[in-house]
Amino acid sequence: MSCPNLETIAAFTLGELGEDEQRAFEEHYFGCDDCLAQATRMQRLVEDLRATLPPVLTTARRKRLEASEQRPQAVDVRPGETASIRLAGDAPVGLWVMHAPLTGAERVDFEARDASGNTLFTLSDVPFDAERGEVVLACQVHYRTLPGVAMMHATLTATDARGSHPVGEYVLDHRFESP
Amino acid sequence: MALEVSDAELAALVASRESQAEAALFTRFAPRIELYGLKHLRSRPAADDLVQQVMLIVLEAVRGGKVEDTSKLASFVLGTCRNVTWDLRRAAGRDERLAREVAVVSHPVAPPSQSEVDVLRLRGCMGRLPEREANIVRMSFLEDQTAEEVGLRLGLTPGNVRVIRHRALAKLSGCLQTKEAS
Repeated sequence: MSCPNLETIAAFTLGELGEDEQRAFEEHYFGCDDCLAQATRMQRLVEDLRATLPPVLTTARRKRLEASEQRPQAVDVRPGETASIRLAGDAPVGLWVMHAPLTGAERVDFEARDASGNTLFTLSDVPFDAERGEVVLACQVHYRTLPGVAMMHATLTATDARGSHPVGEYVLDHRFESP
Repeated sequence: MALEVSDAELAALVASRESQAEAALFTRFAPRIELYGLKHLRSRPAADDLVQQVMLIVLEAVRGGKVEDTSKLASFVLGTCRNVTWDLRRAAGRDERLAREVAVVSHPVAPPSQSEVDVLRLRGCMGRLPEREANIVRMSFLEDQTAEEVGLRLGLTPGNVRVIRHRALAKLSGCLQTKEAS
């Protein structure tokens, strides 16, 4: 076997190669320094992705986080409101609990803009709790290095049987303190 | 000790009790065994255990001249990995059954191990992915959804989701290597 491409190494890392291909790659990387290095990097990448706190949390992830030692503060914010959250070395994660009428929503999209209205980032098809009418956004202290995030204007757009429409505008004020 | 010797030469040095040869053997094979363990045993402590057990068996065999063809030392190490993994899995199955019987249930939350630089680098590379690939990575790894669940949301077959996910991971890995080098 010659060195496979990175896509095959990704499939190996996720356990998604066929049994024969998997055995062939194992026999190969035991004798190939380059493929060992690539497979080790890929393993680390997948572990890092799984350890990364997503920007919008599922209910299950929120519960796990709140049960952990971090116990992040959660701040409720309703459409049209401005709210503040403090992020520092002793409070590395904060949760925005954005309330919105989400009954019947099939999909929710999130957009963040800076104070001048420039789009910072968009997140499509994010997790949401339709029953409670909540979208939970996690912010971390290291976001302080991202331009425009300190005073962030956020919009939630819901898609339901009637089409897509904004369901909430929020101003999220991040008070970053030096670590 | 220089590592540019072949497997057979390294085995000969270990058998002749050359100082540092055993350390060189460990340096060469431990990362391979660890990766194998992570893949098959799915936990870092179990993978570390595998490294120790396999290296002990391999060292004893090499010291005692029991490896028939030392030019195929890598195959010998891999074969030992397979055998020890089989034993460890069998023992783990027994331990799991015992744990269930005494109802020991825990849900540990692994603390994030990444540095701030790691996180920002990964975020930067995620931002360069095409939207569909970024969404599939996010749903798969950050929101713990299966390929079937992601496929349902995006109107794709689970097989398609897996293929796109492999492509996205390949791009992310390439991007991270470029950023590390710069």
